[in-house]
Amino acid sequence: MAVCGHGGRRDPDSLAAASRRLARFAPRESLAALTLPRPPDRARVIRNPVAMNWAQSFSSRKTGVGADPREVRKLGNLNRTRVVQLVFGELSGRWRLKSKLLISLAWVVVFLAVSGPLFAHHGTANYDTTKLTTVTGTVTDFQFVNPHTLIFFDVKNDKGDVEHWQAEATSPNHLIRNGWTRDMLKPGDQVTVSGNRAKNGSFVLRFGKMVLANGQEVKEGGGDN
Amino acid sequence: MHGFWSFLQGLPWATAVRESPWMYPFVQLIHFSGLSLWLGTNVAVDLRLLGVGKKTQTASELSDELFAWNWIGFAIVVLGGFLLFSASALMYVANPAFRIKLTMLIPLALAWHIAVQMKTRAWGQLPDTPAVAKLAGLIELLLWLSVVTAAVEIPTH
Repeated sequence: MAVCGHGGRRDPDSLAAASRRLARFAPRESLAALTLPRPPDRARVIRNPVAMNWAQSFSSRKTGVGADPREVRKLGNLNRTRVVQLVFGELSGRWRLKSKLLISLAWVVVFLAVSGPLFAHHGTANYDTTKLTTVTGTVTDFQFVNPHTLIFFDVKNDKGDVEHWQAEATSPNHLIRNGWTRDMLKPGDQVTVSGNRAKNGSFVLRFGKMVLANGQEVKEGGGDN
Repeated sequence: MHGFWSFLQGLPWATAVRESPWMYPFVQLIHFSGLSLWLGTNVAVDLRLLGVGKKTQTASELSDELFAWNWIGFAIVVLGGFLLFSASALMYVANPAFRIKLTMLIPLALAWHIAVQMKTRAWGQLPDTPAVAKLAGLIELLLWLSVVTAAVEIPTH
């Protein structure tokens, strides 16, 4: 049977050659690892002859010296494991696992920190939520649409000029469940709208509540909008 | 061009997405599910290139295994995105965050992703990836992060 039939077993000649190569870099005890044949791991070897299996990579890390000649070469070049050893001293297996866990957690924290702005609620960033503005006007358009419902209305200011206001409410889905209907506002209706005005000073409100011509008070509804 | 966008958002299905109480969240569901698949598989390979993940599987193997899911996710995210866009096309084309996202960030990130995916076969042969692969993976992560950030900024502009 051909020697290469099962990838896990090593050809004795190449094994000897590897031992000689290894001897130049590695302390004597690690040679034992080479002479112990690993059980064959067919699928892995066929798919990727270069990759080490988990047990091998773990044992090579534990001893600090690779059972694989490539690992030894890397150690010669002072790889990351070796640098960690030099800085923190030799860690026991348990501490090594703990430090790995800590490093993983650190990664999670870094990503959460970077993605922090993504978690901010997007609806109110542009509105001054510290003040409530109330204006009365005549409805010009009511768009009961996704993602946000829009109420357009004209307001006459103190000087007699007409200001075109717009109020942004939440989605129709949410509003329907709280009793709103598509035709509850029509052009020409009188309406008094309260809400948080846009920070840039434009005539735009984040809808808080409104009072219809018949005196009925309408809010977006319970819960967090 | 204005005519085309208003024609697009006047189409029956676009109007339905805009005005129906349930279709819009459903289309959002399509877009975000596809996004999870697309970005999830992208990020998994990028992190593996950076050296995060199990070392028993090379970056090349991981990339090959996720390849189909990666592009299925892309198809879903584009479908959902197109439906969301067409529902309010006029609003979106006027939105600076959306314009930056669609005309600059997405083409850039997509081209980078395809290049990285092709190069990963060469970079990912050994358990440890070369420095250039780590840099490429990091840049791709940042590119997709910027795409998502632009998307999140759309409602505030």
